[in-house]
Amino acid sequence: MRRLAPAALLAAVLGAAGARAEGLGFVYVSSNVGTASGGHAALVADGTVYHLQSADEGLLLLVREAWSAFQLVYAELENRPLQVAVLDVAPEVTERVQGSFARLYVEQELELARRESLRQDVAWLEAYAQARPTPELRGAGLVSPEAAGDPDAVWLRAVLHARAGHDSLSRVTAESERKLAELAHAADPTRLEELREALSLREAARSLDGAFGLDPRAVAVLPPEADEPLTPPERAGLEALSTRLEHAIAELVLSARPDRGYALLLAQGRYLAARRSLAANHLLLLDAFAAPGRVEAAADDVADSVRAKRREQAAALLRKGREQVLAPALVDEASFNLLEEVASIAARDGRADAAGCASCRRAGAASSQRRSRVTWRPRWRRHERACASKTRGCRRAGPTTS
Amino acid sequence: MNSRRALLAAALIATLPAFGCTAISAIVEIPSDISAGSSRSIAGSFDAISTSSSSGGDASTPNKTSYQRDLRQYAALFVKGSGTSEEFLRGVARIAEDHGITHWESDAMTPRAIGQGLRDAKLSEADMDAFVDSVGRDKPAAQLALEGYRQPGG
Repeated sequence: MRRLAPAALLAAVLGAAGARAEGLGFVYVSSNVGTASGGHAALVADGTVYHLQSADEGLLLLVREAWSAFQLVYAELENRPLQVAVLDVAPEVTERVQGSFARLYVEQELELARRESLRQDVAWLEAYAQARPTPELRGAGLVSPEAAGDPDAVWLRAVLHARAGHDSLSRVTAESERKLAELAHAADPTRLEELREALSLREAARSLDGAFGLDPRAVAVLPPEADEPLTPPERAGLEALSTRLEHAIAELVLSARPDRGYALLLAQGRYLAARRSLAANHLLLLDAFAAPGRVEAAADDVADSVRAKRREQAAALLRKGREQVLAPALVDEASFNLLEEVASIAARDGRADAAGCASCRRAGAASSQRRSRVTWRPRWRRHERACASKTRGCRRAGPTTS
Repeated sequence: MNSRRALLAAALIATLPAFGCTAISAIVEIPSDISAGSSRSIAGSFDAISTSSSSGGDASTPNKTSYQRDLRQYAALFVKGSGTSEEFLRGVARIAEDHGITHWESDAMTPRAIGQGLRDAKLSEADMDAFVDSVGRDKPAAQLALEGYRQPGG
């Protein structure tokens, strides 16, 4: 399983570090014994670090992460001093540099997404050819048909009926069925992404209409030290989030986006988790990384006392996140996403366990380790990639004629 | 691989004129530190959220700023190339997802960043007008895109 670094979470809040990361600078990371004898170089611009790393299949990828994440991994986990040559330039210049690198990064990420989509296509075609079940559909496993009629989901359906119309979900279902029929008729193997989108949309409509409840396996089980009762500001934040999600789900139902099935499933999962949190007065967050039957391997061999300390650190991080993300009346979705990631980490063995072995980042590590290399992959994007290995949040769609 | 390196090099070279006679103003050494700092740096990231989101409803958190920048660059790239509107929207969704944003349609930053990107791509005023008309001039998204186009630094 791919190990996850708390460091990776931090890129979601770029520019988080101190004065050393402000402005523009060249970074030199001191050499390391064995695999990084020449050191490593990067560029930092207003707290965002860009550097090159070897990835699987011989790719040299541009990596973007927060300065704090970079510092955590290289200076702390790998114990390598960093030197930053700070350039005396105007803020506009720094922004230009950021823009240039962002362009390269976006191009690269879209190409990688395209490659992933093609991989998925191959997996689906192979499944069809071998008469096997098709790969799982991302997001569909956040809710469970076994929990149909869940009271919170029933309420959400009523809200949807009021806001989007009583026939809104049947219209979405009809839309997805029409698309599936069209794709079946076309029998075009190059349109499998459209097929997955249509199936996701149909699953989303089905789960909303059937008032599916949260799948218990989709929730991050927090360690006791991180599972404190909700504070009044946190309750207010969750209430506000629920209301916003009700609006968002209604708008998504009415939207014309063909790819909105996954967004609907995720929003539904988040909504149900928020409502369940309020009912239990304990925070429930979606876990992106759990999988049925998956055995969590320990990243390293350390004493129980060290693990306990890590759990304490993870709990402290989660408390801080709860305070900063949930307490404000307006919970930003991107920040909430970050909190979910932290909860997923805390649900496991703590910060350093989740970070995995630092040497996995080094170029020249074994191929399997390189695949574990920690680059920031936002939760649901990572989740999507993880679907290939059947992680939580994925579930097979119903039968299709395509 | 080589083209990627070339692109990276080009990006660096593109910034060189701006550096001009710029001097390195400081060399900061950050010692390695196994025992301290992780929690501090993590806590610092949450502080950034706190600071950024305190200013109100359309607040720009660091992550949202990054989303805006990525989307702006994407729009500029896309308009210079070729592709269908479905492909464009799929790219927008992908970038939004990268930043943890599912319902990007309701985010005012989305059309504004697209407008900024169109400006960066040197779309003429006339072409921008046609674009706004095609979207529907009275629609808030069209107005926000126009705002982004006219105030690319905003």
